Amino acid sequence: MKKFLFLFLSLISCSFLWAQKHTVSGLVSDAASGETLIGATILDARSGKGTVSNVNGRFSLTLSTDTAFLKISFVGYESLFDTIPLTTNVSRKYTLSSAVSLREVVITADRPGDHRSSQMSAIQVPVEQLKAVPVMFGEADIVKALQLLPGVQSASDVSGGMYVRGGGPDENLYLLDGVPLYNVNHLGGFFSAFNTDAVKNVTLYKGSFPARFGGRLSSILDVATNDGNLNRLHGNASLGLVSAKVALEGPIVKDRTTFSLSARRTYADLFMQPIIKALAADNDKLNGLNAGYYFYDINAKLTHRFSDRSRIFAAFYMGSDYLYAKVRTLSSLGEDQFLSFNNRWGNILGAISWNYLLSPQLFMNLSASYTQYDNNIVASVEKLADINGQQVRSTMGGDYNSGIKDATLKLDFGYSPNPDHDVKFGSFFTRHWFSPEVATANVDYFDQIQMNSALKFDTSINASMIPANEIVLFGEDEWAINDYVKLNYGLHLSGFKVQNSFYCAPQPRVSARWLITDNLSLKVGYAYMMQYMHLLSTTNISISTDLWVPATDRFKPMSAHQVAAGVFYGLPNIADFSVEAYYKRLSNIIEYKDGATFLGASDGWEDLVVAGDGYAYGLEFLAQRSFGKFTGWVGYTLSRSMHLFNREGQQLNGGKPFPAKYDRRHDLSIVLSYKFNDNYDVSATWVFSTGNAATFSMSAYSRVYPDPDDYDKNANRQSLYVIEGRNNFRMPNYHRLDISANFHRRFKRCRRTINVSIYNVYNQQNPYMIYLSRDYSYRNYSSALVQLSIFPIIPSVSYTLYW
Amino acid sequence: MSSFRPILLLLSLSLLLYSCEKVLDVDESAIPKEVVVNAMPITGQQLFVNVSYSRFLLDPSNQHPVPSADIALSVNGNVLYPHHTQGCNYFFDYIAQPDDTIALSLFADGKHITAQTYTPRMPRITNVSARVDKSKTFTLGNVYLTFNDYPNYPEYYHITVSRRDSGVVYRPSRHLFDTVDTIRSTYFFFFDPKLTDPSVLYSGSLANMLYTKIMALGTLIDGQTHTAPISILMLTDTNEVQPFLHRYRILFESVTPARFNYILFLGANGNSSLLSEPAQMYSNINGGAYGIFAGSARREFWVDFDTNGNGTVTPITPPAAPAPCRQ
Repeated sequence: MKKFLFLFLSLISCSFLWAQKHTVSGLVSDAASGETLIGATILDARSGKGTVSNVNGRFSLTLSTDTAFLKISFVGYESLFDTIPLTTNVSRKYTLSSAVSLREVVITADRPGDHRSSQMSAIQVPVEQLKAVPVMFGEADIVKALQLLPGVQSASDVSGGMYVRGGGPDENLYLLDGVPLYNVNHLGGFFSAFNTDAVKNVTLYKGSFPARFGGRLSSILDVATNDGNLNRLHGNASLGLVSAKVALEGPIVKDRTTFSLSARRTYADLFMQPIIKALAADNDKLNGLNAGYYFYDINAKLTHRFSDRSRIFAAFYMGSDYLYAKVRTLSSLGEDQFLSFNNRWGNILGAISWNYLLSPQLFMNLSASYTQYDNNIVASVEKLADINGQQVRSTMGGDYNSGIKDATLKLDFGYSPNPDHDVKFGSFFTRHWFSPEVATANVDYFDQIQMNSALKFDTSINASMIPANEIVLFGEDEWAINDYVKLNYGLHLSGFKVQNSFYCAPQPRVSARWLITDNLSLKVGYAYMMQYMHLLSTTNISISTDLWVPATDRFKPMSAHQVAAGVFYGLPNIADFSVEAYYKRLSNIIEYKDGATFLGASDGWEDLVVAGDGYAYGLEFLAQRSFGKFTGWVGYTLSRSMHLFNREGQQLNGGKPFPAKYDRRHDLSIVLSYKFNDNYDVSATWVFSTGNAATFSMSAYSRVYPDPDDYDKNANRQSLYVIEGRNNFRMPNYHRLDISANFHRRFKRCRRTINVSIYNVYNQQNPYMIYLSRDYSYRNYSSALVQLSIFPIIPSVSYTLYW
Repeated sequence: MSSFRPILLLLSLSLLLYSCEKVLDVDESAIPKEVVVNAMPITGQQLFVNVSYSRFLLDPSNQHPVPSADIALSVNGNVLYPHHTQGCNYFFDYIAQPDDTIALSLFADGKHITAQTYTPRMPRITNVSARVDKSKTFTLGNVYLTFNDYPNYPEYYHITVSRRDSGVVYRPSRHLFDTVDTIRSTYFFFFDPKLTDPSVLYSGSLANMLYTKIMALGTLIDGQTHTAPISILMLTDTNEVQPFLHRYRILFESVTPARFNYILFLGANGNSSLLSEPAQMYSNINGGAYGIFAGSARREFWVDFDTNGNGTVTPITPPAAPAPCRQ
């Protein structure tokens, strides 16, 4: 570790030997709303030196020339030019106007000119552009849009999780205003937790991670929310088939304080009630059924500007899903029996952050945050019996909770000492509280013979909470060695204290760019990542019951080495092309043992899992056009992701390698948009991917219990499936076409957009799962193999009003 | 237009609720039929081997014979051939003895299929007693098994508690000891005598998990002689219930490591659900077939709890003569 620190400090100190000249610093914001712009490019045309605005919209560019010829640009905005005599340090506020052709632009991977950056495997997504992608139920979704990019995959129609470069869904760090969000799925992944009305900017890193990020192996999704319109009260309301949204933002104190508030709720449960009651009325088994589902989320942000140098904001997010059902049935003894089930899961997140410009070259950010994710299941059985005219009641219930809470204090700095260096460094401390599984049971059993309460208790099981402390130091420098070579190097040093163990890991990061021509560059990158928590999820379906668990004395943290290399080429006025290759080696990943499940287990979670290793490699191709009336991209990924669990006593698949459940050989996305005029635009996407890997069998054999005095007749009839390996089966390939059209109209005081979209236009029945069903027959058999597909063709319409 | 609103609404909701199920058309001929060997040589019992073909998943028939099977066993180096067959079962004229080394040789479908096992010694139980213990909360039927000294090699035990009631047999989902050396805990089995089919209510349910966890005891055993309780929770007070409801059958087996792994597989397979990892089959058969060929030695007892809280233990199988120590 000392070697790493020495190397890093030596590089930092050597690199500052250049004489300091004059600095242009300032802020880039949207002209209409005053909203700061993240990732805007500030380029000195004469020297070719440049920088980008940070997460607070700030930039600092130190030049050794006597005049700066700056070009300030941002995707979807008209560029701005500024000539500044440099006799002293200068501060500027730039406001960019939205380009007329904004809606022609779609998701931009490696923004124009980014072949000049040393950062690779990063995608920045202006949120306005997300709305050009066809959506289900008219609800734009960040994660669904990102899944269309090479290297990013979805698990299924209803999975909001991302599988990035062969990594699992828990290997992605979702940051909302810099704070981790542990569960981003609503409705099992049908929608993500990010309400696009509240989001300003999205950046996804899938490799070559800058040293300021850590904690996950496969990707970082950095989502920034709106600060609020600085100039006027502004809002929008949207009504779709399943949900309604409203957003409001504006100034509280002119030029000082702004707010942004947005909320969303599904209302299908309200409409479904009459249908459910009608269904239940015709079915004795569903007597009195009351069931439903909804989710909601709320984003709020308050921003106050003390001065041009000082700003503070407070952000809040709360989102929750609620699934409930209650039914009246008859027990096997003919007693009235009420079964109820409630499942609620969701996140709460809060952050307060103070940004301060210490000097034109030095920027500071101090923040404190809290985040929590909880999943709560309550199930109960209540029985009523009439004994000799006296009604007796027995109840039995269980309450199952899992969750995680974090509190974090963070201090970080940005420092631009000269045109060739952009340094970021800082530290943060996080206190984690893991509650993987806390269950309570309550029983009040009435003995009908004795007529008394035969069994009564209320107790907790596994009520253990696992605290952990995590501390991180990081430093990175973007170093322009010369006009052709640029280097980003850094170190992420983290320590994690849990139970009786302390895990510490220096995680070096480096990426380099070689600008071969003005339009062609070659990039390479390496990152070592450490992850101190795992998500336990079952193979078959992704649901809210996935458990967050920490590294423990018994299970070490996961880690990954990733190397990547790529070629980036911009064909002027036509399109941009890139090819990236990656290889990733994973250690200490965990999976459930055969037959294990979170529910019905009497053991702690550590007894249900085993640790192993994995590797993934692939090639990603991207061709995209992000200007003109006709825009879009073609992305293709050729990849492989394998797991190997062959440690002593922790073997899976007989100790042989097996495909990860998210292993896909081919993944193709085609996204096309065409803008006819300011009032109409259309878009279409087509996706194709190799089928999911699953553990399944087409044949069986009978278990024979060769006991001549066999009293266990059930055992003799037991069929065993011939499952020769984990994830041995491939689902059929997945493909789907979506189309959408937007109709815009501007009125005197407002404007509206009607979105009409069709999901799965040719009604492809893509497999969600395959199972053995006795409700169907097949040929001469009384059962059948049934493929369940979730979404057929789904037309939808949404109406959004902006004012 | 307004009259169409309910129809549009219903159509939209129908789409939402609609999920497509389709029966898959499967080419059965493309599914390979593999040879399956099932045999559990039991100490003190006649040897037999079951050989069959695997079948298409939907095929409800029990077993498909392998007509061309040519099978032989080698017991301690002496080759035995089946003296008669019955369906898929091949019987050998030999009573398995403790510490026999038994090898299987099977020619079928052009494959030479082999497997090997041994027959364990009888479980070292010196005494079995039973009584009803009452606590503030629970009424427990406890069966106490007393073991003599430890063996000098790893030994695997498997305990099954079952009860016959109206034709329903209860099979606890958890009843495994790792080895004698590491006996850590015993498990309670939850029976509700009033229910004709309690598995409907409890099997694989949240309640099952909760009860099991509540009642698990941590009993460390570190002596030359030790006692392990098997506790059975009885919801109904023993004074009020007919005696037959409190008759249990305890099977105590000493098994080979391969059979122990097979039992683990069966347990994992039995837990299968949408929320669980599918269990990969366990096999110790070589040569392109699968199944299990693993030995067992067993002792069984009837345990009756009477209305006074006493327990009576009756051996079902007389204990075999003590075997020499396996080296």
